[in-house]
Amino acid sequence: MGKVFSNFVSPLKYLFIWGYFSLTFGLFIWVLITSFKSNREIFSNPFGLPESFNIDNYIFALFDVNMVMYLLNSLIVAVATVLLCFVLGSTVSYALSRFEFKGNTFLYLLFIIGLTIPLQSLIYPMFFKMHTLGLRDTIFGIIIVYTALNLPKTVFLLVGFMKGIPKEMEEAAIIDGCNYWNVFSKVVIPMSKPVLATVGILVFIAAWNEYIFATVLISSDVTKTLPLGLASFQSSHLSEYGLIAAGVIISIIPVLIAYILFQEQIIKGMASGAVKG
Amino acid sequence: MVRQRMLTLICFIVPTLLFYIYFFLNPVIDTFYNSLFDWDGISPKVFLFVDNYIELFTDPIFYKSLLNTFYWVFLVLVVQIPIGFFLAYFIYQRVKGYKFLRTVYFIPVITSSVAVSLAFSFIYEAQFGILNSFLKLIGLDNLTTAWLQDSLTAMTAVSLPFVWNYIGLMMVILYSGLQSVPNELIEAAEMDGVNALQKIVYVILPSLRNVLVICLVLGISYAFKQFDYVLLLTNGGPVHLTEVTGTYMYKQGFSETRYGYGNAIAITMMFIVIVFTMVINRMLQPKDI
Repeated sequence: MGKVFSNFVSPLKYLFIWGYFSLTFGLFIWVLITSFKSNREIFSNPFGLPESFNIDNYIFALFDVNMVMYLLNSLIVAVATVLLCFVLGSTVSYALSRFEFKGNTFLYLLFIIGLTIPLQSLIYPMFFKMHTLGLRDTIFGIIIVYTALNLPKTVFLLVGFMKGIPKEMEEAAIIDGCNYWNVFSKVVIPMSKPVLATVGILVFIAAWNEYIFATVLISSDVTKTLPLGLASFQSSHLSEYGLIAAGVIISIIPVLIAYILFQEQIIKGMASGAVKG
Repeated sequence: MVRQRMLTLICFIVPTLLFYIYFFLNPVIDTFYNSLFDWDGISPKVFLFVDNYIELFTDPIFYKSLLNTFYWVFLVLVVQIPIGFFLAYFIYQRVKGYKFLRTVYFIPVITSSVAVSLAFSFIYEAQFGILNSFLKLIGLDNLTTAWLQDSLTAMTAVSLPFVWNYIGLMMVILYSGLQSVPNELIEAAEMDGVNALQKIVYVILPSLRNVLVICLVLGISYAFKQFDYVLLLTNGGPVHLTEVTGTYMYKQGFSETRYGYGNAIAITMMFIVIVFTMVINRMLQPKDI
């Protein structure tokens, strides 16, 4: 009985996993193929291969529509956000995880509250705050906002990890005459590398892909990040599908390369960040 | 030493704390404060107390958007989590090529919502989109439609990218849950001669209870947060048919310049998400998390 059932299930199982695979992979490949086509080809033969691998769309997207600039902006924003989260997050997490003092739990909870709030509901006060500070429509402003939004997650993951570092290491270092700064920079930070990698990846991908806050805060072309550039690019070149497809591919490639290189870490990091965040 | 300790603490805590209070907690409080006012962003604010909320609770479009957002939660429950579960389960069983499959299944999760939305706009495109081209190819020309404008299909069409985007995430969360299901449990069940379906229903799913709850909480918060797809694909149209709470909030301020009302929607969203999270966590037995 069990055997019969299993025999019936097996083909369904393969149909399911490869069917879903084809949907996901197929969509990606189709966008890739479309990016090499001219509009005429797209309309006459939507599924077929392009007549030739024409990279005109890419050249136009990168240089004429200036995606190079958007790419650069996104890179600056994402890297700076990660670094700022590291600096602000690791210091406070060190204090919260390694010291006992009055108000420790309260401070920790203050940071953790941030995890429960749907961040997108903060668009209005963020918009007006940046406006008042004169930071609206600046790269610096968007970095500040992204850092603030990612801080609860950063502190949560770092404190959780740092609590697990054995205290003896530090005590030994203190006895050897290290001050707290040395303990922090020479013992705790090196030992926290795995969790810093996770945080770095999570924050980088979040900043790289973020759209809602970017669209609220940024208006001029020179400050646009990639998702914003891509979206505005679509509205200005409405029916140039090959070009838009090229833009999509360009925006995916950097994250895809990072993903292929650090796959295990990214998958684990996203899963733990999502579960705990 | 004590003085040094004190000084260290201050140096390590204060900068981040000030930054966090000013750029995160203050905006949270501002959202609430401003939700009590009528404000167009320029003229002086007019104090309304709870009038924005009263208006909200009698606003049919808000209810429509809430209903649509709950439709997303429903899709998370009946489409996203089940598909994520089966993918995770088959990968857990080490089907041929499971590593490669997992890599590909996860790609949508790291792809930006804009790229995903644009790719889906190609699928739905009326003239050359995959969907219509495919239907024409197999001779079902009469089924072709402008998927994002047709009132019958628009809401489902705009929901699919959201569902598809996070299936991979649900999969890896459930996969890590599966890895902690004790092997003895599965072996014992196999000894008892259960079939594949019974194994899933009576052994696997009960042991994944906590992980499934996490997926649900995550799905609910994403349903309220991720309105990028709607903003990009339909902007809530045709006539508010695909409006979700996020887009409705967004448009109140940035197209209607009713910031107070927009903030009231934001606070209501926060409230719903937090209440849901708390209720679901309460349902979770504290035994093993």
